[in-house]
Amino acid sequence: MKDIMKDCALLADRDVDPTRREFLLQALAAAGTAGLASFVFSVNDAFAADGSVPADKSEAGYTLTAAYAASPPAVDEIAFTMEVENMLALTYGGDLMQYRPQPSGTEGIYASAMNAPGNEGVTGRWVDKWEGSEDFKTWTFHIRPGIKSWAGNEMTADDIVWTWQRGFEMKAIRSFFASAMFLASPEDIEIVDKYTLRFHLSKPSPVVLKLMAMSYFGGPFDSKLAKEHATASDPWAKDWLKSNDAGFGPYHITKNIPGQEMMLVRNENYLPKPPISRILIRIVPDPATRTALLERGAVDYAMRLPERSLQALAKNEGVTIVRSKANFIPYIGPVQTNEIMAKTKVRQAMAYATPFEEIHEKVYFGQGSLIKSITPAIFPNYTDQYWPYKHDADSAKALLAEAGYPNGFDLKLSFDNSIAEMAETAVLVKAAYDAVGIRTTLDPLPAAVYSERKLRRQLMCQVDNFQWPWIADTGYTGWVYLGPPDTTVNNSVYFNNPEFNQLVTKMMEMPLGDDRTKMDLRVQEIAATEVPWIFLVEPGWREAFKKGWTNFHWYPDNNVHFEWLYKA
Amino acid sequence: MHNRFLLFATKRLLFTIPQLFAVSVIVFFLIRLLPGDPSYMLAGPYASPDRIVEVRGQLGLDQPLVTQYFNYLARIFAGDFGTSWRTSQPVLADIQLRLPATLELVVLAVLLSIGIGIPLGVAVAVSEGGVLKRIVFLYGMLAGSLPDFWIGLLMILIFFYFLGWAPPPVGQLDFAVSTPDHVTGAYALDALLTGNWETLRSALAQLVLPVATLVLVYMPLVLKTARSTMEEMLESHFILQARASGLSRRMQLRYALRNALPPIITVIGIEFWFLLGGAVLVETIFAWGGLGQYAVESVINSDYAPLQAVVLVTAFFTTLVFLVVDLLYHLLDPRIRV
Amino acid sequence: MFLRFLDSDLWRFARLRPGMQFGFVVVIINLLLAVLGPAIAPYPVEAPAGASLLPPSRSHWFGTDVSGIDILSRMIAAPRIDLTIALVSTTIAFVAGVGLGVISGYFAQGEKPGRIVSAGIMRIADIVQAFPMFVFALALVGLSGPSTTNVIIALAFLNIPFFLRITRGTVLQVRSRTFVEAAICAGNSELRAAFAHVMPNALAPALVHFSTTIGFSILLTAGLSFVGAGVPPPTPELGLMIQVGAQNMITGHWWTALFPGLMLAVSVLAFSLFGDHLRVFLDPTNRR
Repeated sequence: MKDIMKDCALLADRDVDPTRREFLLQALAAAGTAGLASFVFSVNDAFAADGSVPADKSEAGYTLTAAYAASPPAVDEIAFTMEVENMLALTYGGDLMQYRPQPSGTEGIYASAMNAPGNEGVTGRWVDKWEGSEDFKTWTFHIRPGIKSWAGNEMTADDIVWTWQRGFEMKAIRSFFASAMFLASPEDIEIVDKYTLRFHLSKPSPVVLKLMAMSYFGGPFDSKLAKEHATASDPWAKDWLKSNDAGFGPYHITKNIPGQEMMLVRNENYLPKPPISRILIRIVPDPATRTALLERGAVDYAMRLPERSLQALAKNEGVTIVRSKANFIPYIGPVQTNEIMAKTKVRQAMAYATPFEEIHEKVYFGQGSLIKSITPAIFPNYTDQYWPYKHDADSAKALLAEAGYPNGFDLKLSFDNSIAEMAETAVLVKAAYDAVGIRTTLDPLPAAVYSERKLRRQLMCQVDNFQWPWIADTGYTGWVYLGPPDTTVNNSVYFNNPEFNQLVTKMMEMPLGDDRTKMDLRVQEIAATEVPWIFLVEPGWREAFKKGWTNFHWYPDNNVHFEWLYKA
Repeated sequence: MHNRFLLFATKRLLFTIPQLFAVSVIVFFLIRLLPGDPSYMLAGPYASPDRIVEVRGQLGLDQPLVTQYFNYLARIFAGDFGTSWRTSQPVLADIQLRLPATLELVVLAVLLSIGIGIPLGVAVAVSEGGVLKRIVFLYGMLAGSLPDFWIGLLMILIFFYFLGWAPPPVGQLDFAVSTPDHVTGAYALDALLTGNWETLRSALAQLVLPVATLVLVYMPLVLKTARSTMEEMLESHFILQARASGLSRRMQLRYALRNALPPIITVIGIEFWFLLGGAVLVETIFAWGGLGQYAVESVINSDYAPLQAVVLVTAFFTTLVFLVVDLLYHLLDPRIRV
Repeated sequence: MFLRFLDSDLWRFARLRPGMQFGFVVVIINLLLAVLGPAIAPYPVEAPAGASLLPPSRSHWFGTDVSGIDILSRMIAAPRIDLTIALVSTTIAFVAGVGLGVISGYFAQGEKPGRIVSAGIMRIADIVQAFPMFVFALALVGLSGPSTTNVIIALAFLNIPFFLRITRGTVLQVRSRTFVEAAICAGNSELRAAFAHVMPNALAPALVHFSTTIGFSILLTAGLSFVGAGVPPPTPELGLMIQVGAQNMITGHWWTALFPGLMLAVSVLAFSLFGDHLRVFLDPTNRR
């Protein structure tokens, strides 16, 4: 045990030379996670060496101008769009833990250590020490003293508890994750002292640290500040927190005119000091206009540009396209409440009929890679060995005949028509499906209508882009998107395979170890052979910036974390 | 004559009220009856079924339609147009912010259309022929057929992208230009009124392309009407009479113009109406942040409250404009009988 | 037949007006394309025929769009969609508008019940016209999902008031003519007199307006498609093509939005020109 502790401390020590660190990592992996019954990590600096900000740049005080597609409907977990996530990440900075940054292979771009086995890729964000019990049910966190919000209040255990109480009250995203980690109520969070808290989970949770590494459900809140804006009828300050932030994160909103503009300034108490001191955001709804702005150097950053714009922008010397492997899972989802879609052979036929390469080439211009498993390639235990599907019209027709549809059938393919790449994919899929006898009609829907029908499982088949699993774990991914349909809201395709359900449920409530890893592989196998989702292309994280900015950090929320950027 | 006019005016004004009521009914029921329940999108993908029910209750969507309508009406009279889930702000506040922006654009476009269109139309009607007449005629016919969103895109492409003459189309003000102190809400006007020259410069620069787009596409209507009405007048009997009587050309023109005014005013009213409803796409392309853009985004996001409010507000303005036009017409043309 | 046409007033009128000829020719081309369209397109209309974003070349005269579909083929197939929508919606609006206009105009100055109906129709028309056209169409179509049917319904609804007013105006004039009195004396019921005798004489202005409305409907459909509340992709529709092409235009692929835009402008122009000249032709007092 002591050896492992020492090794871990050495791992964290930035002066260990890389080869030694590699060796240690491999040794640990070889020792198997089974050996790590209980573990204590001690890290000197919660912000890892890779990708840190040089001291002189911190003092620079840059202004960054950005063109966004829309405003966040709220700066709180009551709404859920990419823009909301982005704002929450900037103002609250994330929860107790974080994924460790690591080099991505491209200079100036850093990725997150998602592929590390077990919990090795996770380190403290606001905490500098943490302990987990052997049975994975009791977790103790030590908050680093001296963390201050923009209002000057220090983070204490009280803030964390208030945040969780509010989360349960809101019944939104934070409470969902409470259930995922088996935190039954905020009373189960014990305040040990001013900076220490202990979570008592009702079942073992192998992914609790990774859950705490998220940064999009708002909080931890500066509860002192939030309470100043609470009223008798609104004790959780829901009203004020809709448009304002009470965060410890790197930035703070000073201007928020929905639909027009936002302005954020640096939280002067945040460390390490972000080089960008001011962020000016304009809402520019038309993607063509956003592209033009970047092309002409009128903004530093344009959000949400489709791949074809990025291809053209890449030729511009004044623009940098930032890319990193990510965790997107665009897919075609036959909804199994429909009797044709419920037949496995039909879904397999559709998989063979799907023009993967053509989509990769025409929609994504060859960027990214084809997805071959429910588990993103950057997650631990990823394997592509179970995915046999390639575009093969003959196999598709044969399977259709076997399934009882030798003359094909009629398919309605729905998608969110505000996402350009989904529309383009759908067009190509339609042409390919038509060619094998699956007579396809496209059903583009406005975003809200699409969300509603998808969640109510009223569609026949959907082309979707909206999944990217945060928690680097197969069990979690399977459980949240394809778990038992009657209790899993996000299982919009109504996949209901008993063995799969049993496996992912079990995986969520057992300690890490060899058994779990075996189940991991079996889950991927079922997801491939039963093909509830026909996986498409993982396009990677891509953002377009004016040339000169560097030190981009990819984080599984796929947002740009401005606090790291500086000009080279 | 004054009495008759007052009678007419009162009758028209009185009718406006039930008209607006009817508009509110149509707006409400039509939009409510359409599919799309924003509760799902609002609650987010991790919401439990309970939460979705809760959200729907908050939006008031779980009550019978008629009850919802009366609640809606009651709230409107109290000044509450609901809350936009997209901005988390009361719709009234959102509209107050955006209406001046749209009005700024529309009023300027109408003023320029009149300022250029009428003199040009009259000049062409009066002139004896030649190249100018042909060019203007061609332009008139062509421009009215062009989609305004296409022209807007071309404008951005040519003047911003290729030539770099125009500022970036990011809305009413460029980056890092502070908004002026609030007087009317229309940035250019406010900047002028408060003596904020830097903001005024930026606001005016930003106005150039979108106004140019609108004028280019919508002026032909005024132009054509001015020209054809003027031509008709010049050939009418009473002008012939005037000419025969030896009235100077200038006086002839004055009389002709005076009589050509009513249809021209009607067209101006129609132009206003067109623009109020039609500047929507131009606003979106130029990220103007006006009412039209707000409406488009509301539709795309199934955000009912703003949509109802915008349609109501626009209908209100349109009714107002038509009222003014009718009254002016009546004043100017004594032949009109109610 | 053709020789008789050459001798007719219409031809003599049109000969001097190149605008009208141009308009007529383009309208006919549009109608032909609407009928033949997809059959004569060189490449598939909804499936890729080459690499994405190819510039205009000998094999692809107008280039390809972002999915690799040949633009010229889509432009050839577009009139079928645009004209169908425009024709169907305008016809519906015409029938309903003229019908209501006749009733409203005919009974405007008669006995009380008729007058109330007549006034009621006008007030309803006023109300409908108070709506911002585009936003309303957007709401109707956008909220129920893009589809050709929805666009037709929205456009028909919004165009009824125009036909109504024009017809009513003419009917008011025709109504007071003696032959109408004669018809009633001869024993025709009021309704029959209205529709069989008055209406045929009041149709001309509405018919003229038909043509301009078609042009306007095409523009409106394009605008709706541009924001994604028109027809569903990959239907070949000019507004949709412009929307998809707009982003490519900014990054240098100018042909994707330029050609559909030109075609749109030319078609709408043609319908307007034709309608305008037709109006002049049919109204003798206007002729110069």
